[in-house]
Amino acid sequence: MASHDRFLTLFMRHQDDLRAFVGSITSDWTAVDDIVQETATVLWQKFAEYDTTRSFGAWARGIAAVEIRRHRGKTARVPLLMSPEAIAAIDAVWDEHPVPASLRIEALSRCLERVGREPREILAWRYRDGLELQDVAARSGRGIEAVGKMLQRLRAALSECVRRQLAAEGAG
Amino acid sequence: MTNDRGEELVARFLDGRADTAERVELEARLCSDPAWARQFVAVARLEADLRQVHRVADAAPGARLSEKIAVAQRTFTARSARRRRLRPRGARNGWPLLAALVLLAVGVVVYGLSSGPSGSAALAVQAPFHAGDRPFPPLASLQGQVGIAGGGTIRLTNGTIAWSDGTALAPVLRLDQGEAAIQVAPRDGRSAFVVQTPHGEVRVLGTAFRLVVTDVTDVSVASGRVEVVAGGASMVVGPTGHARLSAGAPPVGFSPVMTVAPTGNPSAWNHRSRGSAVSAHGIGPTGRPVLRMSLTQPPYPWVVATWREPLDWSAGQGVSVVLLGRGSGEYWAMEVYDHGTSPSTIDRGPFARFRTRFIDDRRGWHERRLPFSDFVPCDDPHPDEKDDGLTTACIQGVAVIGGESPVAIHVERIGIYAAE
Repeated sequence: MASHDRFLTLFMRHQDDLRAFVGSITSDWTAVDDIVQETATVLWQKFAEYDTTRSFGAWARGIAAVEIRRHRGKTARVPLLMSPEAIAAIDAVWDEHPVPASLRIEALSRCLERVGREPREILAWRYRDGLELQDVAARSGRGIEAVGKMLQRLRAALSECVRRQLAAEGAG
Repeated sequence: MTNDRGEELVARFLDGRADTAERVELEARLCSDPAWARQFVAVARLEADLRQVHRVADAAPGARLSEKIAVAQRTFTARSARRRRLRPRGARNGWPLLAALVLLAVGVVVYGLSSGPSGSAALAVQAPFHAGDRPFPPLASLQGQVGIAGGGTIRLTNGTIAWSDGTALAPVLRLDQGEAAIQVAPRDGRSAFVVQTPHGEVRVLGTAFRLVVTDVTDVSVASGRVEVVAGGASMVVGPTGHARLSAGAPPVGFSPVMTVAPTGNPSAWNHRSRGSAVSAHGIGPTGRPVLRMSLTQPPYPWVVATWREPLDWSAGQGVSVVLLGRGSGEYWAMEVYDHGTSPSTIDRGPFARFRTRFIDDRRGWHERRLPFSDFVPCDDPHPDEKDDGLTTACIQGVAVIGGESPVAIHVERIGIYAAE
């Protein structure tokens, strides 16, 4: 397979995971697209150096971690909340029990259909409209802590629902 | 999640609520206990998936027309009020009002001269749409069945949100949401009839077609041709063709097929690798039932549909598949079971199996065209298989094959496409 095709195949397979990784470390989803794009450019430039015996995902995350720091240096906007040691600890377990994003997202969509109207609104404001927690709180007329707790409970319930759906399909 | 403190800390961190002490505690736990790191990864992945699901569901359709109009009206009202507050009292009823009155008078005179006899029938002739004698001027709400100036009808299903726009010479239907079946008389020498949706535009010179507007716009052409425009690109859709418009993206076309494999019937997929399953899954973009092929035990899980009476696909150029892309970068494959030059009505083999692979490099519904010339004999033939080349005259089955990861492949249509 041509180098370009090989790179494209690998990158497309891992790009959702890479976004999740970058988003979790920066906690700034407005910057994620920029950082992932910059990471993709570097990955392509260095693809000749990629050791095919290693996980492509792990290699990409290593470069993404560098790009996150570089991006922060350029914009001084993205908060870098984690030490390199903590990032390495997350990276070490990231590839355990991988389930393809497409199956996870399909299961999550089914689980979201069971969520009530009000919580679904909260989720939409947070994840569709990209509102900060304080803005979600203001829009919903609740306190920040109450909304945070609500989101935490919703995520736990959705996580359990997704796990069951995947297990039922033999993919969990 | 099994660790309550971990769940609390991770949630506070990802929501931006964690204070310095909590961040230090989280980092220390992440570094010392892999169970905490796993918990963090699980929540981080769910967080990303939630954003992805909401992004896909929203599909960036932009504000719907009714919302845009409401926003524009609110903005206009607010600006007008602000201007009224700012303007000196003496100017409020000064020359702008005079100018408006002059323009209105000129308009009435011109309209009166051009419309000829007065009365609602004459007005109906001037309006872009009408229901009998009742005219619908621009930005009138449309419901039920309405006529198009210049000939043609629109049937709007209940609950559809549609507005009139344009002129009698160049009518424009604004379809915000819902479904419309449209028949347009040939518009020889006149401007095209145009339908605008939140996702793009359909230009018609005389045809019958159907539009369904949800998060996307699906266009199905019964006869004639329409031009669809979206995302800065356009394409012509011919008889029995389909196109899907998404906000900001070029139109995706689905060509007509000559023969259709049994994609609407899960039980027709009568052979499956271990763990694979086929089920019905709603309606796809060209209005046909969708099959969900759950291929969860890689590598290369498969499902096969065979049929007794062979189908002659020799008039086609290749296989056309309408499927839901994942953008996974995985190789998927299709096989056709060709009985060669010896027609038969037996249930199974000895077929010759021919396979082609393609990369799942697109997201969303789209049509894949797999030329017959790309199909090669399978490298693991049955001993009884007789390879006399892919004749395509006696096709008795098709197979869909997954890649190296578990996947659910949604397929709406499998058939053959003809030369353009």
